[in-house]
Amino acid sequence: MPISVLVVVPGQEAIRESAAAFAEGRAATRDLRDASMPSLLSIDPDVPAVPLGTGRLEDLGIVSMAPDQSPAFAVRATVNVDRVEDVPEVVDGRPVFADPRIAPFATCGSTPALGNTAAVVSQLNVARLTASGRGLDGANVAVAIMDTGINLAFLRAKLPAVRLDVANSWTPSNGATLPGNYPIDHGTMCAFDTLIAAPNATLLDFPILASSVPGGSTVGRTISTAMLAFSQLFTNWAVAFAPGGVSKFAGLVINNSWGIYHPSWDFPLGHRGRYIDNPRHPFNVLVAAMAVSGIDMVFAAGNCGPICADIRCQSRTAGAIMGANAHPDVLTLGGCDINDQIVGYSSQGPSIANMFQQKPDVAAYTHFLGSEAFGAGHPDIGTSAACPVAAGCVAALRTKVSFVTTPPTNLFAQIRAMARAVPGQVGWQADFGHGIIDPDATGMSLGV
Amino acid sequence: MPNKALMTVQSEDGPPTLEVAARQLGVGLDAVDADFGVIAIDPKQGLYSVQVDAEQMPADVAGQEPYRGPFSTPRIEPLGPPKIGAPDESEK
Repeated sequence: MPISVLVVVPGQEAIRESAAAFAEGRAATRDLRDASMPSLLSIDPDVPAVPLGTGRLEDLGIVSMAPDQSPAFAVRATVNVDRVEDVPEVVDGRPVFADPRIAPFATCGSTPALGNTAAVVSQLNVARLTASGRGLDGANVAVAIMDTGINLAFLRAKLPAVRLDVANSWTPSNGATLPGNYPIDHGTMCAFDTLIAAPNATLLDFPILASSVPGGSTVGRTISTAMLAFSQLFTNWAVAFAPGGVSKFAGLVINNSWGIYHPSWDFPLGHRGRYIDNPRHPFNVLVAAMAVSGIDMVFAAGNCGPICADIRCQSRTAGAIMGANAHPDVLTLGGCDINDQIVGYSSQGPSIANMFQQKPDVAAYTHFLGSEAFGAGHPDIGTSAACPVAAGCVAALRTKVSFVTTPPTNLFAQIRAMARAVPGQVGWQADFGHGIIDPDATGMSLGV
Repeated sequence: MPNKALMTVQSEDGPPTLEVAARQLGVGLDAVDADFGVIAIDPKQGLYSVQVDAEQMPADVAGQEPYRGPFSTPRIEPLGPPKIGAPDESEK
């Protein structure tokens, strides 16, 4: 098998020309393959030669490293051997060095913010979406933020035109806090990130993760609380049709930046009432029925990625996308940074057994300086941020793409098909899914 | 109401009352969580959900067909800033 190596060779005309051309930013006039090479080694003509002086540490600073004067150069070559262990250390008196694969350091929980809201706006081509005449800006589309609650004053200080529909928001039965008046926290981050691609969308506040839900924080943050909130939206959207109700909107998107970190939070494996791997669990049935009614549901994949998983994952990173986050009728988001690198904590597929396997569907941007809901200078982070960035993309598309002609399953299929592939990608892959969400290309493919 | 069990009930004529749900499940009305109420799961299929005091459930309910529960209502959490560091028993 061919193994890439680096080898130090003496200066020759073709090699000096390669190094000089690279330094001057021009094409070389000689082919590197004209250089004389040690036996067994084939030079890589696409990688320029690098001047090394004599190649000895003790001569550094003494011998010129200019291409026309350097006595020795490093070149990339391949050697054919059966095993890596068979690569010779020296060939014809020339030392052979390893040329190992390298990768960028992963973005993890403690990594500072990478880029900012403007970078995300640019990466998503929001200016093209919202351009005059196209108008994919979320107008007349509602986005329900199923989270810790929204702080409207904080949002208004950053986004003066933000819209919150208080009447169609949800207040827990014994809750004293009005919609839009919750502490600045995770839900406010999600609301901010939703409006990046859909600045004219209308927010609905559904504080299912707030501490003031029935029973207090330890009881309130459960699937049954999510069921109460989802069912209210479902009834108002598809059953009640009350004047002024949520059915007045052209589209309804639900953002879900929440999930379960470990199976130990659920009934034991094999129990018929278990949630995380059971399409017949009432919440998963409810999600399926809501999708049929035209509601677009977007879920975060989770923060149990293999490189730097959240400690609540208890080191379990396989089959980590669970429950409704792995439902076939929802759009599931992995997270990448603004340099198009997957973030190390983004949960990877395939999903837990019995649920839809090819999750996440796509990736969206996270880990950027956005809302600063967690404090000045702190990034919008987690697949929690990627999820509302994508929910905003969906809302932007729903401005002109009807759920009647293009129901959620069709819209999500188109989003997958038009996702921007990462280098080397062929089909679905475990980290990015089908690629990075591209609302501009998706809209164009749908004729809007 | 501690130890609540999530159950499903069937009704072809719209949402059932708490009384009807209690009767279907074979429990007293006081065992059904009135605050939770009757939740629409898939109205076109006549499927609804209620929460019931687990201690008042009939012993054979889990063996009935079709399976109506109990279904789990596990804890959920925001997928926000990843927690890093050594595992903590309180996180399990």
